[in-house]
Amino acid sequence: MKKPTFIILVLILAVIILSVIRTYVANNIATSGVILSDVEIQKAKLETENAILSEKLYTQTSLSEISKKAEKLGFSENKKNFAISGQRPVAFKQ
Amino acid sequence: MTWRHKFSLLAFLFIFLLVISRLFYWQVIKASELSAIGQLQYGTAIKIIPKRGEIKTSDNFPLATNKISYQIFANPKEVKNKELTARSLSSLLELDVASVSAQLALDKFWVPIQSGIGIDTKNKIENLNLTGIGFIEQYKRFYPEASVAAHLLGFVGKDENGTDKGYFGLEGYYDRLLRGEEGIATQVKDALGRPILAKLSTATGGSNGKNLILSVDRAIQFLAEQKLKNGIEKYGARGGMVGVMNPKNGEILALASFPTFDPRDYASYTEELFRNTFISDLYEPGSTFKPIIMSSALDLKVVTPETKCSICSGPISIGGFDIHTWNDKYYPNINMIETIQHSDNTGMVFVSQKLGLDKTILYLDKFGIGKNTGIDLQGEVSGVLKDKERWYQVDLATTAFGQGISITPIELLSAISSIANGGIRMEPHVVRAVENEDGSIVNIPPKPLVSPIKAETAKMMTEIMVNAVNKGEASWARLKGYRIAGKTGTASIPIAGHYDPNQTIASFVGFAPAEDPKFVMLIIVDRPTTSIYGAETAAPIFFDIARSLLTYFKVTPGSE
Repeated sequence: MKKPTFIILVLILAVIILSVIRTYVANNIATSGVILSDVEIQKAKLETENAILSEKLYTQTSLSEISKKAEKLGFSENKKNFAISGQRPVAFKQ
Repeated sequence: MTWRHKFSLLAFLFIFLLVISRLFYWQVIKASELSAIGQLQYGTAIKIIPKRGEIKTSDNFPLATNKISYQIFANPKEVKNKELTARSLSSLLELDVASVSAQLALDKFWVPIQSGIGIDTKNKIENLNLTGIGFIEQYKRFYPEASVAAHLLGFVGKDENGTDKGYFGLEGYYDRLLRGEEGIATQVKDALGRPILAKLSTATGGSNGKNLILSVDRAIQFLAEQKLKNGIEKYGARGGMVGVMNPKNGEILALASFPTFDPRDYASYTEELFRNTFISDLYEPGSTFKPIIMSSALDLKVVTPETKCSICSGPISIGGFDIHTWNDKYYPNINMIETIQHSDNTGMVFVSQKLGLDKTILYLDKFGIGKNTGIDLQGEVSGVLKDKERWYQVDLATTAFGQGISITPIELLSAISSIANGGIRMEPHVVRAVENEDGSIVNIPPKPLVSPIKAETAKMMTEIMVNAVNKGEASWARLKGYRIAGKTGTASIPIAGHYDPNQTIASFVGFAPAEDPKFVMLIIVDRPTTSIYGAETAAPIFFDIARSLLTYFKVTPGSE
């Protein structure tokens, strides 16, 4: 029986190439934990900032706050309603 | 076998036994402890506290949300100058120096100093560069509209394990949805404590709480509360309530009770104030109950609007009790339209006699009297309708004008809304939709319950109530140009077997515009002092709010 030399060679080559790639990638990302750590800190900071800004926004746009400011500025409630009815036609069609 | 061989064998056996016993000690007895230490070196298991869901009004504005706060803690073994640290912290946190010093004196690695501190205080403490002091970020319930809708919302307290738990109102009723589920995440780290990229943190289980989107309209809630509060002050009342509902789908647009509490500072109020009296307190509704009995009689056709009362020329004696009208004025041969217009008790006794006990009980049941309405708020109660055998003749008569029967305000609002909605009673509800964490929305559809009366009866009753507003005792306060259906109520308060002659529960219930109601509203004023009558206290508050609501709903005045 003829030995499958070609297949064995390909497999060995594949193992060697993959091992080199793995070593290279592992080596490259080994120090990326620092970057990840920074990104996570940045994310947490932004989330905190977002929450603080939302809190300020809700406080400023609450009706309680708006009505207080409106009162300070001299606005008062309109106690009289009126409506403008539709214009009467010049002549009714008989 | 020589003695040397035997000795060597025994020596090896002994050594193996030692090794095996040591392995047993490590792998069985100390296994969990060592595993935990190993995990600590490998990574950190973090308990993920879910963010509690928001409660938003119909315009997507949060009435209850979360704000960031911090828990400050100390590692007493790392604190260098304990006296200086205690003094600095106590002045910034407004705590006793002694209590901070006592915490720092403990022989522990971690001691809590204070929870719920704001970002500004945290920054000030950080700028002091104190050693051994740290912060944990946490969320605290935040109410942008302060105490608005406090009874609707309830509050978030702690359970027996110290975890957040909702009490009363929506926080209580929807606690499981709002609180979410705790999760655990593992962050794998290298020897220097930095996260390893190839081994990302994995979270198991856990989800944030879901948001509730209410049918409550922020503007209506705000103005109803403001105007009710002003009314209570103006009429020198002990308290009051307002409920506004869309009769077509049962959506609650506003609900408030006074006195109230501030959910931010719930611990400084008595427990009595947490109860939402609109759904949890029973009261005798008085004349606001008359439309329910009258529409039942009209529906059965035992009376028509033109039927004349044959017993209304003076007080009526039933079972040893004399029944009078509220002002001791009597109108012989009064018809059913005028009976409601003048709020005539004798006319209602006539109606109850025509209706009979069996049919009264049947219709009260269909109107939902004596049953929970099913509103999605914690703490709803209902009165109990007596068994048929326990009704006396006088009970039937007094029930017709709303005395001797106890109901909750939400029961009355729900019953009257069926008149406004062409005879169909809808289940009242506060939550319109639930928003999941991924932003998807699950709508809660309106739920029709029962049709206590026919559509034509509802129309007839509406016209009778419009007439009562235009010509009745509260006509002075009505809004000209609008067709509003309504009824006043002045109910005496039962005290120790008799009715208090000087104190009343004044109320007004109605809906507008009569032909296509946008809202049904109930106002209750508890023990007003300037006047005991609903027509002079609750009615003006009702029309004051109604004017704003009609403008808000863009309903223009037309010809009456």
